[in-house]
Amino acid sequence: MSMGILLALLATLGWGASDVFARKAMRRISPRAVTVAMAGLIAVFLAFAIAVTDGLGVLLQLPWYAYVLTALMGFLAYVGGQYMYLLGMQRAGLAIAAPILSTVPLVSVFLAVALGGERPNAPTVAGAIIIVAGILLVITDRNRVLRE
Amino acid sequence: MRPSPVTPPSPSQGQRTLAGILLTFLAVLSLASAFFIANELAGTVAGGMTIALLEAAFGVVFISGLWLGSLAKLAGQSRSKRSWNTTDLGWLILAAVGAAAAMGGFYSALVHEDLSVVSPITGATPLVSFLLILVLLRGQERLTPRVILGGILVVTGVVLVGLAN
Repeated sequence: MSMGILLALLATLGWGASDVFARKAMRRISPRAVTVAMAGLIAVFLAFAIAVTDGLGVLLQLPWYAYVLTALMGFLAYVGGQYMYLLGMQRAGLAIAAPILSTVPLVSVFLAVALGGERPNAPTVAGAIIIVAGILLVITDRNRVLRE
Repeated sequence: MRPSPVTPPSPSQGQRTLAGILLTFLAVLSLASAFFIANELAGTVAGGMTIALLEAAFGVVFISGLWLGSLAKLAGQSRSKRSWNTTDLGWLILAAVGAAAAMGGFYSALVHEDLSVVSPITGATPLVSFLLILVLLRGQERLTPRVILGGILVVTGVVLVGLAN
């Protein structure tokens, strides 16, 4: 198994755990405050990790367009992504919004193929579709929810 | 006794739901676009953790501007009035640690593999959340046959992607 696959699995575990812990924090802290505070803390923890491994000087050695693109990423991920999802969930409800959000992997694959020139092999495409189908089965099952 | 007729949703409620659907689709496109940009940067311009840090730092600036009111209100609450405590802060910190590891891991993964390989694997996140909820938040959710089938499909898909690459 490649390093990339292992790191992807680490990311999956991290996000899964983060969602649950954030849900516990949101019992008494507003979702907005949790989102902002988490973004700040994430930056602090990553800065610490980079300081230990590569040194913070790497942050100043990037070409100018890297800062522009990562700023765009920050806007897309936090304003376009998290903020819009929160607004969408408040209006449409979690039962509708969550399944829609689960299609992010498929849209990512589409962008990678259409704009990035990637050519995933057939098992990868099949695996992506099977993963999304499985997730949709899980999150659309209202019988699994005992208490909101 | 006659059953009461089903009341259709009001036009305003339908419009609200449609607006929510459109906003969520916008969120999907935004997140996927952010991942695509990261894919172009990772390994060529910067390492995964550097990209994740810069994204989070800029994200804090943007989202703080939107929600400054919420933060000010939270910070201004006196200890006697606020409803949250240090345990809640602990969960918040743990959530941030998990998210930082996830973002660093995801963008670092893009250095080694294509986005079309990495992104589907992380699509299994809701399954991980569900399994942790079963353990940590007992009484909120339960295993059903449909969930088990969904879990099997997810694991099968992840293994398929992993083996194919």
